[in-house]
Amino acid sequence: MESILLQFGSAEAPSGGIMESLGVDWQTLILQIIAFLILVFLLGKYVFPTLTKILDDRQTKIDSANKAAEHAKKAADEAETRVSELLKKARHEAADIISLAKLESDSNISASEEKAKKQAEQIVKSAQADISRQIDDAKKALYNETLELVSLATGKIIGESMTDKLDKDFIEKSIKEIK
Amino acid sequence: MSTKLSRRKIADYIVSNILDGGDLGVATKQLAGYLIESRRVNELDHIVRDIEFALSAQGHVVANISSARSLSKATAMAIEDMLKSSNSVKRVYAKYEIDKSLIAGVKIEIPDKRIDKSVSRQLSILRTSQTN
Repeated sequence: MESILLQFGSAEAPSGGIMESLGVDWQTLILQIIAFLILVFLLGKYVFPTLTKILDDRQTKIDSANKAAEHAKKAADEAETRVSELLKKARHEAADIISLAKLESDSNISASEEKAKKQAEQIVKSAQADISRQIDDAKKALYNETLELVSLATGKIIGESMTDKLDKDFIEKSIKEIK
Repeated sequence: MSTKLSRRKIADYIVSNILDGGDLGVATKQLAGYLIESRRVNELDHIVRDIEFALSAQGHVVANISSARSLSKATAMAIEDMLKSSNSVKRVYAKYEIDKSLIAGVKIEIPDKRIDKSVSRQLSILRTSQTN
């Protein structure tokens, strides 16, 4: 190890300076720098803007997709909430309708019973009135027939017992009445 | 074709004929001929009634007198006198008939009046007044 260090330490410095000692050729270096700068210029002028644009576009698309997804999620959440509210409202209305229908049904049954009862009472009343009327009619018919018979019998008795003398007297009396 | 005469005109014609002492048989034949020709035979009853009314207006009353038994002359005279005494009747043409259904009493029909003094009528009134 010591021998190696000594060897370098004892070596003579080249005459072109440190760069030459390092093996750098100025001309080549300048050309490489120029070529590098040209490359940087070309890349900056044509390649990077395109790449940057592509990346920006992609970012924009990703952002809008994210926004759309967020919007859709929000809309879905709102729809779910609305559906939930509607279901709740529908259940409530259905319960009301069932309750009302039950009430109406009870009311209808009650009304029907009442109506049937009234009709039955009416029929009984009407039948009683009819019977009563028929009895009255029969009584009247009997009375009238009796009257007719009495009248006929009276006429027959008078006719049989009437003499010419009585008839004459009756007529003369009638004439006097007319006068 | 003959003109259609009113019943009143026909009755007036017949009545004037009777009252003027014309031949009743001729007037009757004329009336019959007219009614047959004008196809008004079914109006005969009405025309006779109109004649009776027209006669009545002139003081000549046609009376249909019904009774259950035949009336004596005195009773018939009494009825005719009774008719004459009312409504300034000059003459009564009485037609008598027997109707047993009257039972007793008399029924007198003149053109504008009907006097029913029969027992059957009295019974009928009694029956009607008592009927329900």
